[in-house]
Amino acid sequence: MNTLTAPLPSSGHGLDPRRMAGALGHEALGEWRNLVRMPAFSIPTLLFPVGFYAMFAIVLPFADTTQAAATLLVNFTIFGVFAPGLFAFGVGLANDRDEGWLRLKQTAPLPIPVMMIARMLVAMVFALAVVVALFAVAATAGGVRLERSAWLILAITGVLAVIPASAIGMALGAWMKARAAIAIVNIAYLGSAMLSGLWFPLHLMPDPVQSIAPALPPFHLAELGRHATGLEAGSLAVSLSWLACVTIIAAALAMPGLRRQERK
Amino acid sequence: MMKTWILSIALISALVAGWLLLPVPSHSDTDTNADGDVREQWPDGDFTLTAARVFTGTEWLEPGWIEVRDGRISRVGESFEADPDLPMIDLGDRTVLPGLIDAHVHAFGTALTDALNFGVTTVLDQATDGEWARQLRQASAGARYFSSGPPATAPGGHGTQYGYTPPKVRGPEDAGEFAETILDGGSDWMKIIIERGTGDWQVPSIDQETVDALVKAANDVDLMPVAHVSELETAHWAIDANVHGLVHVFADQPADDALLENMAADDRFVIPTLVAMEGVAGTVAVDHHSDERIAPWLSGEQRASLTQRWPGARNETLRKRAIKNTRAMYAAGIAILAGSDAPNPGTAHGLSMHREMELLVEAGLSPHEALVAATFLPAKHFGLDDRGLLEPERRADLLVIDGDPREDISATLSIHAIWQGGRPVKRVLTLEETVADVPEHGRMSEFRIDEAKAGFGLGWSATDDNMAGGESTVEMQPDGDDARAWIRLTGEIRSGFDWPWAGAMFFPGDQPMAPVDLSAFETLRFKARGEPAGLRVMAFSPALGAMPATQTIEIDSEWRDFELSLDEFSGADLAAISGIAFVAGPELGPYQFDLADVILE
Repeated sequence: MNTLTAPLPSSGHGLDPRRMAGALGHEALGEWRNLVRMPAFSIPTLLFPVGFYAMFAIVLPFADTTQAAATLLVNFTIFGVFAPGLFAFGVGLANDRDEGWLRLKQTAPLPIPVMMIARMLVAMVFALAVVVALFAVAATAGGVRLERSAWLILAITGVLAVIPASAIGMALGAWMKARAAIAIVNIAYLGSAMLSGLWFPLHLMPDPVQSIAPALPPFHLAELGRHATGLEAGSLAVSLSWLACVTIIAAALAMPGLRRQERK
Repeated sequence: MMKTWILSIALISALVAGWLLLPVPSHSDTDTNADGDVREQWPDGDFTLTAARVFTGTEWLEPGWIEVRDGRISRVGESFEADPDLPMIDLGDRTVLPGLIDAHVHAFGTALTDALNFGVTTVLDQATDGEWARQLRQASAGARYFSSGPPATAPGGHGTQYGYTPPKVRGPEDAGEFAETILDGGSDWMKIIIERGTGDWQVPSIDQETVDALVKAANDVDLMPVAHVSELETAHWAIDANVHGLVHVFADQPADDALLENMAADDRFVIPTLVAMEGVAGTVAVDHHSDERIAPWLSGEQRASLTQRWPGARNETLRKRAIKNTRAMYAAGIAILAGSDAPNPGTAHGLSMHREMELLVEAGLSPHEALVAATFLPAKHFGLDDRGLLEPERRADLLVIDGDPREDISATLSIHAIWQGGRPVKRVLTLEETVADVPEHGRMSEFRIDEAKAGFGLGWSATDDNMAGGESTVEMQPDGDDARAWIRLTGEIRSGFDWPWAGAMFFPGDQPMAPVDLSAFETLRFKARGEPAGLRVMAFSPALGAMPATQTIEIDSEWRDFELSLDEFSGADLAAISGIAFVAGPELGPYQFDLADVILE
């Protein structure tokens, strides 16, 4: 009997979908409590994007046309929703490893993918909270007027942006020590946001920056946001496929890092 | 468990409710152009007007006052003591601009009236046949016309494919004679075409030496030389030869510093024609279907050129480069002039000037600068010192719009009024152009048991407020008995639109809302019955804009005869009726009514 035809292990914990769902629920709830109770994560995640958006769109006179107002909202939505996934995995995973949690979880009767999905779902909830907060400010004080469908698609884009952000976070967190992770994830986050034109219009940036932007995931997430809101944007297919590639590559890079832990 | 469910449902409901509360763009802008009767009271002669904002072409007066005498501006200021003998027009919270000047068009057909209909009071034709130009200069209606006349281009070169033959320029030796010829023909400046083509499209072009000779010849006869270029290299030829401006931005590669410095140092200008570039790039973005500021005002020719497309794929790069080069020129301090290059594919006379201003704002100009580019700068650079600025002695070419274009440049499309040389311009609703003849008889209905047949016109159809964002429903069903045939309307009036309606609409023309002359009739007779309620009869007319004139009747379960005097549809122009509707609402709830024997007498 070769391995291809071997029966699946029946003692596995991950095969009964109902039990899986239950485990996922518990794990997600645990993650949620974990993150909410970590003010270093939850407060900046929620307040930074809203604060920056308010500064650029309301305090400073940058949202002077309907287009500019929509552009600012798209940019800061992407800026905001990119953080939860990136940090929950980038910093969170590194922490887990350093503190031995990951080993504990690896021995617990819960498949690692379930844990990852639970963490991602929680990050999505955070992303949704960021979206709700930003939309509330944009609608009341930011002068943003969008078609109802555009609001919805932008919100969905924001929530789904957690997937590539999580994959990138995973790749970083799987390989780094917790202390280094905080610094490096922050640099990656703020740097890529800046270089992707989320803070300042790309055309005001030096030419080298303009040519880097199309390689960065936040740029393409912002492109999706621009598509959603009818702003000028490049090819939708290019952005989607680039994001898919980045997600797959990042997840693939993360795997050996996680396994390395297992072998320790 | 139960608690979790309730909490989840509450949370989701809150999210959905929040989503429904998010602000959407306003689509119903109905009063903007509908107050035709107000404008008819406006004087044809001298007057004083005041508005919350007056943009003079270079600066803002808030509020602003303008006095017009003999078609020219006599006084302008933030306030002055008005001459009590002059009629006073208070435009309220609106903005007065100088009439727009489109610095790059090619005019034929209905170009001049089309342009004026969108507030463009002057057009500058950048290459046409000498004889066409002569006729257009004398045109009595539409935008005022200035022209380069025929362009200087190589035999068989760009510009020779439009059905006229410019005087030949084979080389430098022909330059002097060319200049004399177009001067005699009445040209206001000289247009030099330097175009070698691109990709599969290769054309002969005049060379650099000929450009030099042409510029010299133009200067000898006092014509300002301008150049069509589409490449950085040929832009250098033109600027080195000392042309005064480029009539397109080039997009083959980024502008270099030498060019930018030379252009800025000698006060050269560029007319980027980004809207035409958008056409070439295949990225046209104008809503001519549902935008109430655009759709009803487009002529057939405007609609045709706007929807025409260049062959070939979308080229985002071209568009981006054009914008980028414009931005670079603007940043270098080069004068940017607004011009549309209408009627090239994807553009339309008049309308495209508004889009050009939006694109200039996208390229980095402030809305204020985009307005300067569309008014003062073309006048300055083309030597039109009688317009483009609201100051004493200049022509009273005025464009009045709702709102403040500094907040949103597209506000220039919300046209309230236009004056040209001190005379109010009656904007042409395109639908008015095609008022159909009086029908021979007035039998609106020839219903059968199985068919909602009409006696004339496009006939009967169900109508509801969904097109205005409402939620009401309607179903139209033909029915009948031995005595008569009728149509039955059933449905529900639901909240959603402020004035909900649903029922039946009769279109008298051969297209929806095409107006028909019904002035030969006096009375609308019909039979109706239904669940006791008020029934509204509405007459639509271009003169009323989107709001119909309405009469209300009471129906009950018995067939009753109704007779409405057409004169009671107040404000409707009986010579141009575009629809008659029988509708339930605005009371909410289910409804049902039957209509029969509808006739105009």
